[in-house]
Amino acid sequence: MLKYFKILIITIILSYFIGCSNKDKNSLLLDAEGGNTQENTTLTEEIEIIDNTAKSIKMDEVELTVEEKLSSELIEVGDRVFFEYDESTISDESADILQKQYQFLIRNPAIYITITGHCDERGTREYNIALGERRASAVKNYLISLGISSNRIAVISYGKEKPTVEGHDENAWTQNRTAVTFINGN
Amino acid sequence: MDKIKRHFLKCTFLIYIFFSSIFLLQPNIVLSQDEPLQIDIMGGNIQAMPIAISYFSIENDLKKLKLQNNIPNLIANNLVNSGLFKLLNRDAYMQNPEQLNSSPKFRDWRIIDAQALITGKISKKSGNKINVSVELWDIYGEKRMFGISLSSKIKSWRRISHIISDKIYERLTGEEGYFDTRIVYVSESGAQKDRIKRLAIMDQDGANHQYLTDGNSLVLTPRFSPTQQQITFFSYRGVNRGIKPSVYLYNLLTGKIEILGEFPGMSFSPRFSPDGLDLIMSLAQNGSTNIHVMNLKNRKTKQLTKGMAIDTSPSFSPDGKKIVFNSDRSGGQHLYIMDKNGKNPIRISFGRGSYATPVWSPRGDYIAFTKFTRGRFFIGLMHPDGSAERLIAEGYLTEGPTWAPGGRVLSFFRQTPQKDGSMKTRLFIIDITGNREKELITPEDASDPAWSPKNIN
Repeated sequence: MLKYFKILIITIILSYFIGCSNKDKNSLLLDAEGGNTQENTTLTEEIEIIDNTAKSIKMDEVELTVEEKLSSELIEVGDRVFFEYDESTISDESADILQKQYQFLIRNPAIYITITGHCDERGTREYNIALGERRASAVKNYLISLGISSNRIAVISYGKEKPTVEGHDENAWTQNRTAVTFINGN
Repeated sequence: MDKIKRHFLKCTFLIYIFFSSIFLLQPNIVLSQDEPLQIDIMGGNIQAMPIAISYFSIENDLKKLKLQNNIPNLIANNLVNSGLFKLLNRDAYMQNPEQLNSSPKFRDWRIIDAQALITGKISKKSGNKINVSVELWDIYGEKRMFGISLSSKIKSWRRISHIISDKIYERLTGEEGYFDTRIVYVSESGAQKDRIKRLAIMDQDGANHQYLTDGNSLVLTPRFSPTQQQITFFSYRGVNRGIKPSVYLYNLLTGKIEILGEFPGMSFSPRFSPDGLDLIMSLAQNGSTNIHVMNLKNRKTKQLTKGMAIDTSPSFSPDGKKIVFNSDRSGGQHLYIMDKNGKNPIRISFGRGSYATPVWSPRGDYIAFTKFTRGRFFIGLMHPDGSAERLIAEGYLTEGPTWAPGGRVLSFFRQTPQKDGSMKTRLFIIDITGNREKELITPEDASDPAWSPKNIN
């Protein structure tokens, strides 16, 4: 899911630059217009249309900013930690990531988060719901131990129902044994 | 558009329920004396009993409905699928349905080695109703074993056939039949990462398939009430509105869905008590999962297990006195039995691997479970004292056994990875000997089957 946000934001930024470069072209063409023909006028119109598109995308970007900027920042910080098979222990590596999540939550005191717990497919549905909850709770408790108030953190387990990666090998399983932190929407 | 379709399906379904419950199927069973002709179905090696099922005789103006063939065919399908009966080829029958209106010539049926013969007669009754009379004959004992006569709307012919199948099965095996039943399950579609899962229901033979939920929210683990037209299930349907994933109740007669209490953590893994008055489930909070029981009348809950472990997938014994469940309190996942008040837990599984989803057989003699060991999943059985463990089905992922009434047949689901990386998920039916595994055909991928009790008339 967050991957998609990432792509979306990159697309938005790119289209913004495309818009800008078109604007530049546009002014160049306008400058050159004096001595020239219909062809250029048509081009100018086309460019104007593209320019409008860029503007409307810019609007979207403004709308998305609050939540999306923070979400992308959280992804930069590290939005997820991983677990060993049938385990919920916070590894040293995970602890580093959660330290950064903690800093992020301190920097943004108005943010509430939900931690979703996930498992690989090698377990029954019901056990994995419980195991996912245990993993998400381990993350929650770690953040609380660092000083985040517990009422800022909700926990949901998806067990094996929402894997990050499709696939049926060690690589997929490793990525699917995870707890992911999301910023709550309004 | 989709809404209209959903509405239509719901209506059709409700009408189906309405008709099957209101338009009386009046069983009118005439049993004769005790007969020697009976199969011991709990024995190990079952030899299928050769039986003859004649087409039925029918009044002329009903002939075009083909019920004279459809009803005996459906009965044959049920009995043969049980694995206990072998249908003798009808080309070899020496008496036609009309000749069988009186007592059969037993000698003619002994020639083809029929142990039992089923004959029937369909006649018209007023108000678009039919009467179906069926008789079961012991060929070597040269006796009529029993007769049954049912009247109903023509459109209920499948239910008539299932009820008759149950009576014949019960007469010949001494065990409870399971043909007049339904299966609720989770219908799955879409990519694994964002799977659409919705509840669906069908007859045990796959007929009368209906969807119960629309797929907008994730649903899992449906289970039938033993006493009412109700299903309990686990769903994420309130998550966008800040409601935790929870246990819900679905009323099949009204289509109404209600949440069963709101708890500090997630509630899941529901199952009814045998009397239908209580519900046991798991509550997950702060990394531990414990089993709770809820009184469905006053909605009061009581915690049955305590501690930091994961205790889940509880299932009552048929007498309601014990609960079997799955716990990792000893490290690995194992099966435990405790009293219904949570006292005296004892571990019953000791083999290698992880044990999960224990389900107590309606006969009380077996506990079916899911087992994960050496990279494979199995469906297994053991006695409630943990003895005589054996595995009856396996796969890349097999899970979620559910018992048919009678406790001789189970359903479960299996996921098989495909060459393109996708996953095929299907329902299967198997008997306790591990024989006659058969796929139950569904429109889409299917998981989490739950067998209903016998339909309520």
